[in-house]
Amino acid sequence: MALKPSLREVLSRLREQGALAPDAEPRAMTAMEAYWRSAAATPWYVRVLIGFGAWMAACFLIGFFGLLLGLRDEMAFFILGLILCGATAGLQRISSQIFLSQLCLAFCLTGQALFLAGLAEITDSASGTALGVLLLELALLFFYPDRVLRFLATAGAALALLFLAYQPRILALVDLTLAGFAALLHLLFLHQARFQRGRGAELLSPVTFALAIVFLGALLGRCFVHLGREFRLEGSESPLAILTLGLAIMTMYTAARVLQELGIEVSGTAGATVLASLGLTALLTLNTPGVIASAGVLALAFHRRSVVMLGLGVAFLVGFGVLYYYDLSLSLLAKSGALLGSGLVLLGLRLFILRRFPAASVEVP
Amino acid sequence: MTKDLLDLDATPERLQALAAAGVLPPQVMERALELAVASPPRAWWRRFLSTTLMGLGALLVLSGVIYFFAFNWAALHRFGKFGLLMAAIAAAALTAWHLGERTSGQFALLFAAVLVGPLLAVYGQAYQTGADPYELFLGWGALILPWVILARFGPLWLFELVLANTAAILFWDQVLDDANPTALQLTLAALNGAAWIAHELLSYRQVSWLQGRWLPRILAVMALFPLMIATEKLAIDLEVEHGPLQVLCTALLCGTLAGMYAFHRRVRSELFFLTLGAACVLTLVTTLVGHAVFDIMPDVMAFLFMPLVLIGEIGLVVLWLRHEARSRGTEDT
Repeated sequence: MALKPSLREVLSRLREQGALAPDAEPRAMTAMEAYWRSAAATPWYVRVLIGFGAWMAACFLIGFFGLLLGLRDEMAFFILGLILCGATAGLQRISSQIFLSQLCLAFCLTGQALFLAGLAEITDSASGTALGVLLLELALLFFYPDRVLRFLATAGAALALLFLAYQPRILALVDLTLAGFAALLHLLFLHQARFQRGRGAELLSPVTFALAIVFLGALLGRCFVHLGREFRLEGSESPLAILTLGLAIMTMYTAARVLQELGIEVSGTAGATVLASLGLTALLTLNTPGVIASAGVLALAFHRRSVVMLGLGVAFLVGFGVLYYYDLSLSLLAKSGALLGSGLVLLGLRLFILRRFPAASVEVP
Repeated sequence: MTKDLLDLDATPERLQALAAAGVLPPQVMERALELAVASPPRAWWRRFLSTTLMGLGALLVLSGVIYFFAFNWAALHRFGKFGLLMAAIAAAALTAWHLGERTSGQFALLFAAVLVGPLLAVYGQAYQTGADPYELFLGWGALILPWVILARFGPLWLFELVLANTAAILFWDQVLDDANPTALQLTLAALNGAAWIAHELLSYRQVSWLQGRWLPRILAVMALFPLMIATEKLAIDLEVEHGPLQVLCTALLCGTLAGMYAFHRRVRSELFFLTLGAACVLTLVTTLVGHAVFDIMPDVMAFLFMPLVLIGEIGLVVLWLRHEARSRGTEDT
């Protein structure tokens, strides 16, 4: 089952609505043939290859500059880093030819590493460095026209912001930042069509993917910190339940918007079942906010037909599920009971949905 | 097997191209973007919820059963343990039989197949059989094979293959302690490669349940990875440490890469396989060039030259992939 509609399906829907002339399809075919000859097909795994290759190249370049300048010249690192970032952003705007793009990407990543190393030495302040990195990444996000770098810049900016939030050693601030990431993610997905029409259309895909990965990854780290066995951080602990409830509200809001878009009453049986299930999930996993957060990402991904995001949501949901049962302070026997019980609840819910809302009653007319 | 260009996914970039060509006027473009990201119909949501709840529910129940037997409850007699497990297996198998080829039926059979493992483990625990763990996995795989054949369900076949891989790795580790590791890599590549070829042959013959592309992609990675380990070791050491088998692995890798390209050109356009093959070639070439560069040049120059090599390689690979995608009309998913 292909999740996204094809061009033909979109064109025929537009024709049915009287928005397009009957001869639109042959013209679209001609236009697509011309586009296909010039446009680049770059699926996600090719972008991963591009990004990985650029990282490898950047590692060698960092070694080169390290050997050339010596490791003590922080001002040279800082200035060279800025020059490399600025120059590569400028070059990338002039030409998107593949070799030049790859060269720019590698040098830009090197520039960011040199900038970070130089700034850390000059300021001798973790917050100052994080703020500098945040500003640089935001500048690159807006001015460097390349999807791979925009993805990396968003991830870098989000991590720098989390690092800044952690500096006062109050974990509630980190939780607030994570909740902010979640809110932004839900907003970007729910209003995807509107954002795609605007000037920032090119930013949407790299920003959403990077934000989702950093958000869920950082949430996983936050849960480990809460467990306090593998990782320990200084600072006042904050109850994870507040974050869980905040994320639950966002997920329930998204669910309500989806229901509205599907023409289903939120206050009806179907709406109440969905919202009650989400609420119950959040209440049962108060110390593992990732479960409800992953459920939210899963809903967003299916809502906007993004297969890669769907895979990401499933992977994190399973990961947070494992963490949830690991966190339970129970014997193996009691954990077994909890696992069996929750599994049966989910299977029961499925049965309820299938019986209460049979296939014929949900077919779109 | 190339796709009609209008059957490609309606991505914003493609809709933008249609707008730029004047096919979609600005006011229609807005509507087209909305249609492209509109929420799937209710029936799809229902199926999505049903599959997700069933998958997660089955996973949780299975984990619960495994935890229960891992607890090794002393108060429960061994016959009680056997009885519980066998009742669960029988119930799952009967449910699968009742539900037939529906997804829920296939999940029920997967559930039964997974439970055979704990049953064998409890048997080994109760009677202190002294069997090696590889025998458990081998027996597990052999016992569930009839179900796997009957189920016609990709995840169950993958599970069977994972069991076979695990059994082979444990056998090498526990029985053939000092054996040539390349022989294991070759065995795993042959096993996974055979599964991959079988999948492609059956898929080509239009076997309906093998039309998805996620399984052959995983099988391709599982077949190439062991061959790459052996060949990369050869490229790093620059000497044949593990005898002719290592050379055979390299030859097999080259043959597989050539086969993947021929498959892409003649049977089915598949950019993922090309990318996977390109990543293998790129890794090997970079390793060999790295040897030469660091031998010939001073370190500073080598550190400058290597990224240029990498950038050139990636650039060439991306250019080639785009050319192949354009010439074959490959869907970029």
